[in-house]
Amino acid sequence: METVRNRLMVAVFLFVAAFLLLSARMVGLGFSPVGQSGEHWTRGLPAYQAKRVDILDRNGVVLATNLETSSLYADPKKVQNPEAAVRKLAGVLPDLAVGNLLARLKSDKRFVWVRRKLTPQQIYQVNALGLPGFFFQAEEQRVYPHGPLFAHLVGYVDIDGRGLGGIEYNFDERLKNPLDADDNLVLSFDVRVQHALRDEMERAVRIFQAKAAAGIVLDVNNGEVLAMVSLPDFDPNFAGRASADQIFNRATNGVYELGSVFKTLTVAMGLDSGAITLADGYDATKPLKVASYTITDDHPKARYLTVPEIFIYSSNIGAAQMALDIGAETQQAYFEKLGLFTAPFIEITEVGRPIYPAYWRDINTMTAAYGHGIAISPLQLASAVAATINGGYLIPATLVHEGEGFRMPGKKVFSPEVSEQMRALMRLTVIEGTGRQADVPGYLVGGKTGTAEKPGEGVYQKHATLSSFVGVFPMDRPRYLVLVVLDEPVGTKETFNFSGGGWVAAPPVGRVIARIAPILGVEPLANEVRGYQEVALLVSDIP
Amino acid sequence: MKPRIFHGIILSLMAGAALFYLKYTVEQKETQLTEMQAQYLEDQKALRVLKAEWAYLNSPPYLQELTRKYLTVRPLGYTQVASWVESASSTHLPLGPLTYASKYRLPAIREVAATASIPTPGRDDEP
Repeated sequence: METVRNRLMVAVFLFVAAFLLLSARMVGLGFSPVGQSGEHWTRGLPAYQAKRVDILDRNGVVLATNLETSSLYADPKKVQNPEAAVRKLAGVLPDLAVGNLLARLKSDKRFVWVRRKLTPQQIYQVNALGLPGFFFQAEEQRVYPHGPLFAHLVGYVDIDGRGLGGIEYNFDERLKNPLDADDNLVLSFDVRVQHALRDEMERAVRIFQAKAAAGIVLDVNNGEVLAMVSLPDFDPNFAGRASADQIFNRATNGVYELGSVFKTLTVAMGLDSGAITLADGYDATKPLKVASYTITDDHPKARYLTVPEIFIYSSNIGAAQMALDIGAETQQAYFEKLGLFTAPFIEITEVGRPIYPAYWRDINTMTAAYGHGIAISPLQLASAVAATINGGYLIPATLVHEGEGFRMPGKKVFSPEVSEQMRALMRLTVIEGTGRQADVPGYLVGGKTGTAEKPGEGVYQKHATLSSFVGVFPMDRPRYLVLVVLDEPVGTKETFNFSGGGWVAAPPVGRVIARIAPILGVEPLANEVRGYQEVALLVSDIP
Repeated sequence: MKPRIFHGIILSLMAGAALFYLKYTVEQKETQLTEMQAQYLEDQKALRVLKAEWAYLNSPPYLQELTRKYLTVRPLGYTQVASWVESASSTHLPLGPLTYASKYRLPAIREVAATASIPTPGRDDEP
């Protein structure tokens, strides 16, 4: 009896000890502070990671984002009565290829896509049909909330989310493999500036019935592109419906003989190389005959012109003689330094190579002085003109915003003194010369017009022009450059049937500046550009 | 002897009940946590949709269309911008019965403002 009792006591003791141990552990756990005793107790919040990160503008506005959607697929083995099912589906999805789908549903496959990326309403309707054998798969759809506004820049993706154009193509890997969920790609654009530029360009294209247009707003001091438009454009949400003409990016991929805006570069290299001074001048009384060519002026003054006069009245005769004085080698060396002989660096792949003569004869040197015989993209021109007025630095244009204070590494082309003279000259062009219609009171706009005859079959076409205007503001301390190029504009009654840059491209540039200057925080100034008066004295017919 | 066994049984029952209660609570919290995590994921997705919608509804072309329809506001003119420092440091501010607006504007700008008109995009001088 005693043995039984002892054994029982041992068992009871063991159980009590075990329970006491558990109690002690429980009390211990209850009092232990969370987090200290082990990180493995806490569970982090799951972060949603889209398959492709967002693209934002410089102010954080969404330009491209991935949204969740569903795609409808079928398992043909489980589909009963395919004919009826397809008929019902066609009622919900109107443009369904009925015959094709029916054939696929009757095959021995186990997976058949019916329709990719349905709208929420379509998903609801398909669910309401209650068809057996049809299922949804979660997918992501790339959405561009601004439609065609950034078509050529941000680009577009295919149905599987692979980048096919613009930034989407160039940064495909980076967008697919971000460092974390907040690792969005921030671009240099400002959605408000982009709209102002596109809106005014669209208006100009409508009024002057232009075939196409290209426009750029560039920060001349750090190379950031604030806006870039190519018309006609397309909606990247439906990129498949766009024509090749719409997809072509005229601002970076198209190369054109841009005409008189090149005189900005000619005068700058003349001053910088010491070949000319502002007080020099050339005879422009009659057209210049070189070999079988005749160089004429669009706005003939038929007299001796000083360098400022050649610039503001855009004299081809004067610029051509200036180029001869500068010399072919020097001219080519400056073109080379300005990057006009190579495709420019930019973060999209749609970039055109410049076209220039393989052998330079005197006539090439002379026509290049006023922008004929050398074809470059509007982007290259914008960067080159920026170099003439920003203190002399050629800064490559960039589409990526690296944060305030960042500046693309530039190289020196012109001296700061030349840059200051060019500012005065460009300001004078807008006050007294061909660019008067671009002036915006208060913002000290400077600029240069360009009217190039488009090359036809062997000869230049007199009535098919490429009209452009490059404007910079505020001219006393340049910050932004606005370039607008119109392809084959037609003059209207208001422009007295003129279709030159001063008539058709300068007004939209002025309107863009009036709209974007307050947005960009440019203060209206009352002071005139330094050196402007001195330059103005060299123009004889200013009253 | 008897009370000791009795105490042991009571203690075991209590410990068992407490353990069961704890396990039950933990299970409940686990379910709650899973639900919250799922909800958090859903909210993030909803947030993405809302952000995209916000960008769409605030897209400048759309806003401009709405402004054209319902408002009479025009783009900001340069005469409406003045720096406070400049105005305050300007020593030749004319004194006298000036309105608030003209008092804080540079004289030179006032001068231009009297003669210039401010362009309005997309409205006037359409052919």
